[in-house]
Amino acid sequence: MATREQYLLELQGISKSFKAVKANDNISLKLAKGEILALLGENGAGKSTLMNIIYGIYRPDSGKIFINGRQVKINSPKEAMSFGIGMVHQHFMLIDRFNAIENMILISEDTSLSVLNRKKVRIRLEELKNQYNIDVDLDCPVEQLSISMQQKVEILKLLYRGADILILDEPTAVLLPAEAESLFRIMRNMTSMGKGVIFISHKMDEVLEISDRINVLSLGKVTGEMKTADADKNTLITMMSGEDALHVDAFEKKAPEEDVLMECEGLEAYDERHVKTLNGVSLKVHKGEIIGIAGVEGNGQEELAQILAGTKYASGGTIKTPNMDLSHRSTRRFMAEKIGYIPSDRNTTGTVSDFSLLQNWLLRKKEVTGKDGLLDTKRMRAECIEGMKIFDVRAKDENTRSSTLSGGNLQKFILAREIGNAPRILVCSYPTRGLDVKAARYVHNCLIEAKNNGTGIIVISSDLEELFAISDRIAVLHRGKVIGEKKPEETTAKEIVYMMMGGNA
Amino acid sequence: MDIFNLTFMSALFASGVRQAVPLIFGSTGDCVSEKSGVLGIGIEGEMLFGALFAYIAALKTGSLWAGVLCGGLAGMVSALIPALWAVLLQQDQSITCIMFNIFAAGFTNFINRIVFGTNIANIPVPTFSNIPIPLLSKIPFVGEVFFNQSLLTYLSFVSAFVTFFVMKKTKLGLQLTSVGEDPRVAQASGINVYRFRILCFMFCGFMAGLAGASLTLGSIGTFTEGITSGRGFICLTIVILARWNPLIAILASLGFGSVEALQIRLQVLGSSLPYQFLIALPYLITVVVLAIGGSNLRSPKKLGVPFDKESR
Repeated sequence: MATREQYLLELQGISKSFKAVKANDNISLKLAKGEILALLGENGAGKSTLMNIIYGIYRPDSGKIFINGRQVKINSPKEAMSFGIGMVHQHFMLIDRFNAIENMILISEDTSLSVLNRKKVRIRLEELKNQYNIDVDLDCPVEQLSISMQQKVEILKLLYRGADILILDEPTAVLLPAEAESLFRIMRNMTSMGKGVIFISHKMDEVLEISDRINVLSLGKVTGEMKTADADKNTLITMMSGEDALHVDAFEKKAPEEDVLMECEGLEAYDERHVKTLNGVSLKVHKGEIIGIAGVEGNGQEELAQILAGTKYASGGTIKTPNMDLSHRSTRRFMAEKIGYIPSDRNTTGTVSDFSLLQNWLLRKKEVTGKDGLLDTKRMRAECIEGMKIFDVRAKDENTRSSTLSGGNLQKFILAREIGNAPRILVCSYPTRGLDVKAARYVHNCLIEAKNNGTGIIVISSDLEELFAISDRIAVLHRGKVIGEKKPEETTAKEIVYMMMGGNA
Repeated sequence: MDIFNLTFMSALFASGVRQAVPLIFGSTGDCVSEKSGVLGIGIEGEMLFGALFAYIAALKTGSLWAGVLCGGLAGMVSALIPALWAVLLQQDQSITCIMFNIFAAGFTNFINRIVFGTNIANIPVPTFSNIPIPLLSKIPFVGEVFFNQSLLTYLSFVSAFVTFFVMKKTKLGLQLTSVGEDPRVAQASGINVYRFRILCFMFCGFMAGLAGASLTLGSIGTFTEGITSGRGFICLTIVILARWNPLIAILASLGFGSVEALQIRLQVLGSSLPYQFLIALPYLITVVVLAIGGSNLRSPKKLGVPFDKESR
């Protein structure tokens, strides 16, 4: 048994309640030097609360925190920083317009009126880059860096401030497989230098790959603690959800039918930076079929989703349904053709955050008026309540502001709205991004059910596991073109990734 | 036409520089406040406050510099009104500032009439005299245009240069940008965003006050109602054209100042154009220039967006 001094960080019996909800209930954990501790749990399991306590944003109701064996009280992020605790949030705390060096100076101890000394900072950063093998451009404004690079700047920031305990909150949620690998290498370099890393995730594979120990949180309690070497997927899932093991692939899928519901040819588009991101995409959607669109992010997915859903015009190419040519038609026309849309951004495109759920419900409904030509609130309200009930949307009532819903609940609400229209086509962009295992599974079940009822579904996603589980066909998008299509049962994840990187199938 | 000879041109541009002084002061102040995410629409009203109180102070004390200082302070104090509303109470910045401008127009007229009555034209005060800079003022043309000016004019240039230096070369400048770009991140780096923005508002007010002072004490020598006649709004245009850079703002100000000087001269010379058109010329040019140069902007991301500490 190690003595207390050997732990970088130790929590003892931390509890924290928000009104009646116990977010953290008597949680204890230890982080040793040179160790990666994974914190695994569903959304709402209390991971964020716990990390916010460590980072000084919340104060615990009870419990003790030790750093290097010394009991401390952490009252603010600034104090946490002075104890050597650093955190990479899901939303990066960087000024987009600044480059890495300027972002460092902003958080440095220099006084406001000191003249910028970029050289000094650059030398220090180059040292850190070499030491930890972090490859990132220091001179490029952060907004021009990829997400993965921005994350590296965040990590550099913590190292620059001398953090010994690094908390990474869902760091891989925004990364590609290859990028995640490079993050893991950096994490290992950090632990080999004696730093401790807390890795928060709900991706089982990654946790098993990278961590040394795993703590599982469920409903605010530690429900499992084990060495990674002794862990396996099924036990972890059981610990996380208190349910029996999931069968990821066990969907009852009907085979797609022959009828073509939508056909697009040679779609071209530019993104808002006027870069051509779609370069001749052709797709056919059949009745009762789920087409998965795989691809490295930024290869035209967003534009494709918008064009298929009718919220953006293609600069070239055609979209047709059996009834009509939809190219250059309005979003309203697309809705009339029963094309549903689940956008990647639930809070800004999917809903209006400041609207009530009922108002958001009305937004994508075609016939909202009664005989008198006015809003038929009564009927719509009933419809909305019904939809929320069927899709198990947990909100106080239909007048709740949509911004107060959790990601999973909001996604269920959007599903309820779109599927409630009995769509012929459903365009889904990253439908389970940021959702926990349970909510994601719910979304998958809904999609499968809609498919079995004859809807043609397009799912754009970066989660290969998801694409393999639900798709009938996986199309790979690379540099704005579909460079290959595979049936999931006839291919491997490795092959798809190879294609995503531009390799020929 | 032989009136457009070198003497005429140098006199024209020298006058253009003088006309540019309030614009330089104003746009320098607005560069700072807009960089911090605060729209300085109230600058027109702050300028009016500065103009009036600079004139009164100069008249009562007999010191032009006391007048300038008072003008600056009046602008700064008046700027607190929209600042508190917009930053602390998180009201819409445009609306509070527009209301403030209306208030300022009425209030300065009110004070003016109380102090000086309504009938007579105000007593003039002496204006700043030109102080040629040794050697530099001897350069042909350029010397006459730039280096034979009043101290107030030199001060406007210096203030723009100093502001530019602070914005580009110090950590304070980074902090300023960060507050306007992403106040949440700025706060996490240890900046008190509310205080920072209010201080920027006050700085802008102070500069606007100086701009007003330069109107009454720099060229006209008295206060008349509505003396700013939209110069504050021209400053806003200049800041956009200059992409929030005080040095480029100097150039833009000189451009607008020269147009103003030209229109005055054309009136005096008896141009065949109706004088109303000439008076409208600077404003017309503002609209045209903004239509051409106002696109492709990369404005501070949170410009005009109130910051709420509690929101996510």
